[in-house]
Amino acid sequence: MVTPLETKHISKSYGNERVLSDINLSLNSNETLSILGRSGCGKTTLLKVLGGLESPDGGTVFVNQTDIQTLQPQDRDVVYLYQEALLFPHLTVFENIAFGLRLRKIDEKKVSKRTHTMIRKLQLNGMADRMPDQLSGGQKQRVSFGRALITNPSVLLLDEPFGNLDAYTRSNMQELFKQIANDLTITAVFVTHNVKEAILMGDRIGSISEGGLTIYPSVEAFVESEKNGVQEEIEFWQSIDKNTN
Amino acid sequence: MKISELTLFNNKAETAGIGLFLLLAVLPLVLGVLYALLYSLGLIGLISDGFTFSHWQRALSDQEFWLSILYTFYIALTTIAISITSALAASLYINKPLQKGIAGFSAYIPLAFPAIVVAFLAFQLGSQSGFFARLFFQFGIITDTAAFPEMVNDPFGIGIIAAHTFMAMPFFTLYFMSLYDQENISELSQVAQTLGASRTAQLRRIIVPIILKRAFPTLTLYTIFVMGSYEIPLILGRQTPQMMSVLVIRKLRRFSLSTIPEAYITALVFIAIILTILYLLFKSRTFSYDLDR
Amino acid sequence: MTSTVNIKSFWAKVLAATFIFPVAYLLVLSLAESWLFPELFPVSFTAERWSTLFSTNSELFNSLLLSLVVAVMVAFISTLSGFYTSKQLAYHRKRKLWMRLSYFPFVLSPVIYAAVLYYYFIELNLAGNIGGVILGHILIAYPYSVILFSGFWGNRTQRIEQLVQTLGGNRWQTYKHVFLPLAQGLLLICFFQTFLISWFEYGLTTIIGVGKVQTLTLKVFQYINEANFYNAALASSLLILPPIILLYFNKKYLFQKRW
Repeated sequence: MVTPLETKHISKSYGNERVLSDINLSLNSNETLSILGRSGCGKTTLLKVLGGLESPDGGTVFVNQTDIQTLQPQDRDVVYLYQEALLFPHLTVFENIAFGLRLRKIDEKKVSKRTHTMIRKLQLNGMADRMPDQLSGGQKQRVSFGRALITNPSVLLLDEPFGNLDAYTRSNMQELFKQIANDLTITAVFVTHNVKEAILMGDRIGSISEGGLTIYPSVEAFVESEKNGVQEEIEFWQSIDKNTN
Repeated sequence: MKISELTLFNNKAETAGIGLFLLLAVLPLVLGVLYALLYSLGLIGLISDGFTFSHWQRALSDQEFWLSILYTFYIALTTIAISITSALAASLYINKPLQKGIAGFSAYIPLAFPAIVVAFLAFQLGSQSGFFARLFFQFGIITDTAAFPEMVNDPFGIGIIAAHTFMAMPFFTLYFMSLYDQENISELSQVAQTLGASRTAQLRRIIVPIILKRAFPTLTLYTIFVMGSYEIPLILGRQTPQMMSVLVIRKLRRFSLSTIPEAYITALVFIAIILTILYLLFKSRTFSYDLDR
Repeated sequence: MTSTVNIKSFWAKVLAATFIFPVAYLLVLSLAESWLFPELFPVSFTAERWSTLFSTNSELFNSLLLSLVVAVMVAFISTLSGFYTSKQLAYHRKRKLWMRLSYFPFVLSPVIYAAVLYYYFIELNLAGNIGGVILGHILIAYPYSVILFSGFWGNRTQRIEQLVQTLGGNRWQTYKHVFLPLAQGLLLICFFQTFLISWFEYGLTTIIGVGKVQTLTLKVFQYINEANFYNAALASSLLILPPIILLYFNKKYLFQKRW
């Protein structure tokens, strides 16, 4: 079986500050790895290195077991999604989603078919002709997903994709994402600072702090680890429980 | 009339504010158009002898009038096309060196030039005994002034276009660079890149379309500004064809009073063209987006 | 990599030279004793033109003063009245209509605007005098000021105004303690922009002023007509130096979307 994404000994510094040190990870097909970390802990840098938007000081990134270090971002088959939807403001919902297909010069019929299928899947029916500034936050984020997923990338990198959404929309999006990830057998790295989201979204969970990445063998191991603040959260809810009783 | 005004405005401050606006910005235009219209129909003026369409008939059958309209569009559109192309090239290709040091400062300098000085400069540099002709002469490329190509007062309006481009190109360059930051374009093109877009595809599908779309209202207004420019074509143009603004003033100031109605007709047609362009611009989505911001 | 950086900085320098050269050219021409074909550079220089400028009864100096007075008056009146009225316009339910209307006089060719208004200026005794020219300039600068300030009077400013009112501030206090400090930067920009609209204006000035109100731009034209290029260069230098000095202090004062 092919490993969609693997890194060996990735390290990166900005000046004297070491942001990433010796990062090793390996993802199986159709697996989502959540990575938990505080803001500024280097998780965004890690994703940008994986996506080729920044180059590491040392180490190698493999996509489908090929060293992609020398490839330009556009040739890596890895899609990076920001916290902001970053839709192209001059294109409609349809054209935003179809963007990757247009680049690949796929013929009009197929583009139309695949894009409309994606629009249905994302529950964006009837919005094909809207412009980005006519959409709500959740809708924008869904278009941004569709735009990323339509070309079937090997790996999807998600950088706090639901960070700007309200709690309700957020949980809707989490469900939708899980469902689509299953449907389309997506391999993804999901970065978040929210413990609950990390547990919910990940098949496996890792955490990043002070530039080092720890990947836990199981959710239990993650919960029990003291570094992640999971225990504190449990205690907090329990204390409320006691007080109200 | 009074009653409708009372319901239109809620309080004294509003009445004063909007009243002043109507007085300074709306009324003059209405009065001006009215006067020109009445004059052109022979109803008022020194040579008026009653209502007539003859001035309009004469004006509209005058070849010079139509040529002037065409020439006005030609100058404005050519200037804008050259300026947009060169400003895009500069703002995208050399944006980094253009944001610091002397180069960064220099791009603002043409903004300090009034049109009349730019016209004077273009004349000084481009005429047959001008600075460029002297350069050519010193290098032995030409041996007398007549051999230097006509660049001012020439039939193609080269001098006019060059002078306008000198003013427009740096302005557009600075404007495009500020849009590039404002509209988050570097991040958007990174997104496009991870989706598989090469540098050319990013430029063609993302960067240039977004800039041009956002800049569209400003570019249109600038085109109108060039269409109505006066000093530059006055100094650098020739007797015929003339841009509309120059033609209006020439016909207005001629000794014979008989051309005054034609001057007003040209002015009215110019105003009508501008109002139409503005109306179309206001109808477009990009502009209301700009207004709502 | 370094070679593309070098090529880029080369082109940036070429562009910079294109923009700086005209300033140098005008200064040199204004200082040249004589500069005839085919000389690439004047043989000898004279400071006489510049020095007579500051002597008594210099026509050009009077024009400089006149231009300054006109431009300051225009800027002052346009900025303040634009600031005040744009608030009333922005909060009015016909906001969109007012904003659109304010574009018409502003983008319309000033010289054509002047041509169709000339009659009224004569009737009001405003043709050929400084008051008429100031009013003429205001007819263009004021709508610009309204457009510039329309962005300031948005939802945020309205919320702040309401907040001040709930805290017990009256209208004067709201202006003094909230609006004016908040809009300070924009007011300055508007002042300088409207100053420049007037400072640069030629076509309308020559018509409304009937050639009698000799601002600097009219002087430039007169010198060009007399083929007195040295004095035209001197007058041109006087026109461009204030904005360049302004530019040195703050680029924002010059770079505003004026169209």
